[in-house]
Amino acid sequence: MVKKKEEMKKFVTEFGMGIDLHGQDVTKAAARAVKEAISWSSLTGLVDLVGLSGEGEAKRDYLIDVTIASPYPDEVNAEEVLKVLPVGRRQLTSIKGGLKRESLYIEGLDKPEAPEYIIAIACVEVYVDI
Amino acid sequence: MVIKKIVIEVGSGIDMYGEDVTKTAQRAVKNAISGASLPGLVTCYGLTKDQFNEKMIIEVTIATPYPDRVNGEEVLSIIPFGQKSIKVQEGGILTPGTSIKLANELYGTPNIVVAIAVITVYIETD
Repeated sequence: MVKKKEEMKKFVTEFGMGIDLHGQDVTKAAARAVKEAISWSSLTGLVDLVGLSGEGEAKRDYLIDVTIASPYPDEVNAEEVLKVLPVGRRQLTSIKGGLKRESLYIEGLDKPEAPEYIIAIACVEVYVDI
Repeated sequence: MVIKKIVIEVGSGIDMYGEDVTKTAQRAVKNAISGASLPGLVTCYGLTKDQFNEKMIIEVTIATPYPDRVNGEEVLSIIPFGQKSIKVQEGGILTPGTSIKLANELYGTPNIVVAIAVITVYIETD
């Protein structure tokens, strides 16, 4: 039986920021934010807690819960963003936040209707079933 | 008693003016520990805040130019809890920075220093 995060224990929380400078792609900004969040630490404790192996298989269940705050939460492609994570059961919540700022339109790079910098923030929470 | 490796954190620090490698190492440590919060110490391992100092073992490795100039005690003061130890080795980057007159007069050097910190967190369990 797969448990919900409320029934599991929170092991680690990580944070990151991602920017898309050209192209107004909020999914790309979100993916970069997740990448930054997970890139600064190695969770060796998962080996002990859930029996995680090098292939990503674990003896006990664990869950990676991602929250993305971006200016266009409805446009975030959750599946695409979650591909950044190498292992584990995963889910994503997209909320309004982050930052957008007017940028200079460059032909071929930006959308002419609204050239913007898009900044997303990611919170990555790892839950374990122990 | 068992000692378990919980997490490894990595960070980098820069001193733009003054070649202060202690300050650079402090910034690298700050960067490393600021990336992740560890609620698992309480939820998974049952520690209380009072036990953090006694039960957490924190190993810091710094790679920096001029390793002999690093004041280890000052670098470790950045970390709030745990039994701390530090190892400093040659590494990082030393690169020419601004040669503006003011920087030279104030700090006596135009070099930028970059240091890397790796922090390994262990806990003692029964």
